[in-house]
Amino acid sequence: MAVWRRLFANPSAAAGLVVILLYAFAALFAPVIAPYGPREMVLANRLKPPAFLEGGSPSHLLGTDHLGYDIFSRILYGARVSLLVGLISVAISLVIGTLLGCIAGYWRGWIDRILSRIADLLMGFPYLLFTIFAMAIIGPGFGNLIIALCFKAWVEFYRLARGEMLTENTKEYVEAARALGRRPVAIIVSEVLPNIYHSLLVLGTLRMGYMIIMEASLSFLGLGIPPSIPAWGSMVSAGRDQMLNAWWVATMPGLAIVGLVLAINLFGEGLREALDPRLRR
Amino acid sequence: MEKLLVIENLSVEFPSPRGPLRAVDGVNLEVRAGEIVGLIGESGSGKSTVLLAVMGLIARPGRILPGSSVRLKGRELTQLSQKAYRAVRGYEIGMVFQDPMTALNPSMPIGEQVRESLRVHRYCKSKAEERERVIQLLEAVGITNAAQRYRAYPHQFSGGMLQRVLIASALACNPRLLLADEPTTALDVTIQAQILDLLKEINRERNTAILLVSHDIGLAAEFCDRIAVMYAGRIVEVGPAERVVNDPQHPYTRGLVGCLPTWGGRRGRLEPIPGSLPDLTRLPHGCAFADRCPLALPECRDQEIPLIVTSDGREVSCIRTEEEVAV
Repeated sequence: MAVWRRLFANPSAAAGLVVILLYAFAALFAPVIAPYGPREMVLANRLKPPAFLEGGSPSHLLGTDHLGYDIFSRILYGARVSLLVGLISVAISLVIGTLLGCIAGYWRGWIDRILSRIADLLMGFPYLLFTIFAMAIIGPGFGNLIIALCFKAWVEFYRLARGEMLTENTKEYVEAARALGRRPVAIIVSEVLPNIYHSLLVLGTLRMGYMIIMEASLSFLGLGIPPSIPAWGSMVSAGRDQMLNAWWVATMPGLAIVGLVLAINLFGEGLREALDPRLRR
Repeated sequence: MEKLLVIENLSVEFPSPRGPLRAVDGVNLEVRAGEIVGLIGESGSGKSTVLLAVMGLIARPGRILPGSSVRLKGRELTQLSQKAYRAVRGYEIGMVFQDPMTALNPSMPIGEQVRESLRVHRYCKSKAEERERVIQLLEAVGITNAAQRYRAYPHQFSGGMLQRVLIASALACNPRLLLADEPTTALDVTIQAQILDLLKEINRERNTAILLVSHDIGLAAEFCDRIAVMYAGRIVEVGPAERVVNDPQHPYTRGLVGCLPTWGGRRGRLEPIPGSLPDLTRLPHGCAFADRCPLALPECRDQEIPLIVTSDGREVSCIRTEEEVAV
């Protein structure tokens, strides 16, 4: 397909995709690749430096933390959390936001006024503060984290979908579909959505990186994923106190976050350029 | 001839910051089976709104005022439920739009878009039958190699070809009435003639009545059996096309005809109509054209102007008609 060709012609987007696939591979096959289990601690091996530093050993590639966990293994398992949270929360907010946005943009009237005011209200809160508040109320946990993230994330998709729907609604092909006797739901789903899904997809990709940062931030604050599950945010948090004598404990998971989010954003930008004819070079 | 579409006392209002805007004000119009009627007027005269009202597509907050009546083959349409109206749209009335470049979905193959009309109304029994009919329709509107072009996208076609596709889609369920909203305005002049020829051919061969909206009275004169001239939401003159254009009775129609260039420059300069449309939120009780009319009398502004039937069977809404006929 032409979109894929344009995507691969863009080196940064292609690199982004390769890195994302590497992370996905690591997450999927963590039990096979990881030399140690996620909860396998050897207190005797506490704070071992990474293999490439003096005193490090090849048995702990990226060193160990203050409890003797192998950092490399935990990063592999942590990728599962980050990717899952990113994917699920974006998928849910994409679906909800698009659905409500299309409804509001097609029918306008009171339903649009109500939904848009709710959206404005939610946009008024800083995202991190909002989710901290939400997590403090409903408590930590994987499902709760997704709920807290989606509670506000749908707004972005809602506004985009609504705006696109308003624009498409003024085009004659929508009027023509009405003049053919098509039902509103059919018009939205099979006439308008195929014309606007590109921009929603791009927004979804770009928001995924943001969601991963949010999850890491909340886990860092102890409000996200329970400590029993390895997550990059809580790993960074755990390494905070050792920053001076064992910098790798916090830095390695931090780099994992940076790498994945950067790759996602590069891919998202490339996707936008590939899909938007105005940005074609 | 059998009356196919009867529009009676149709009024459409849109709310505006300065009060309700009367886009269509008490319009009466008939389209008989197999007839071509032209609805002529300048921008903002309400001609397209009449078509949308017939289709039941007046978007909120606009509304058709109570007391309006639109009947198709004797059946009242204005009272229909949304569901019942959808069964009329595209099935009993087809519609062709002004700009074929935007009236087709850019992400759907053209064959599929024509098939859509058949699918919505379950016109055919099977998918294969639908496909076959789509190809027949496309060929009937002059698209060669229709079978190969079934999967082509709108951007691969020219404007004239797209208008043909739109016409095919409007004709899919073989409606008795076709509404055409300035179907040639967005096209080149040479293509315009082809599309009009095509519409005329459809009219003759399928006996499909056409209600054509246009701002071009010259085009309408050639193409239509009858012409209705609209001004500020009201119909000011209706009659056989040839009579209306060659011997316009209403001063506004005369103004429109005076704006047409003629061969040889017999008249030298074109005559523009002075002024512009009145404020539709404050339509006068009397004649809406009075302020621009060279023949206006004080009475024109005071009283409601009745439609006067002239000796040649035309209806003209001007109190000075009789004496002008006499002159």
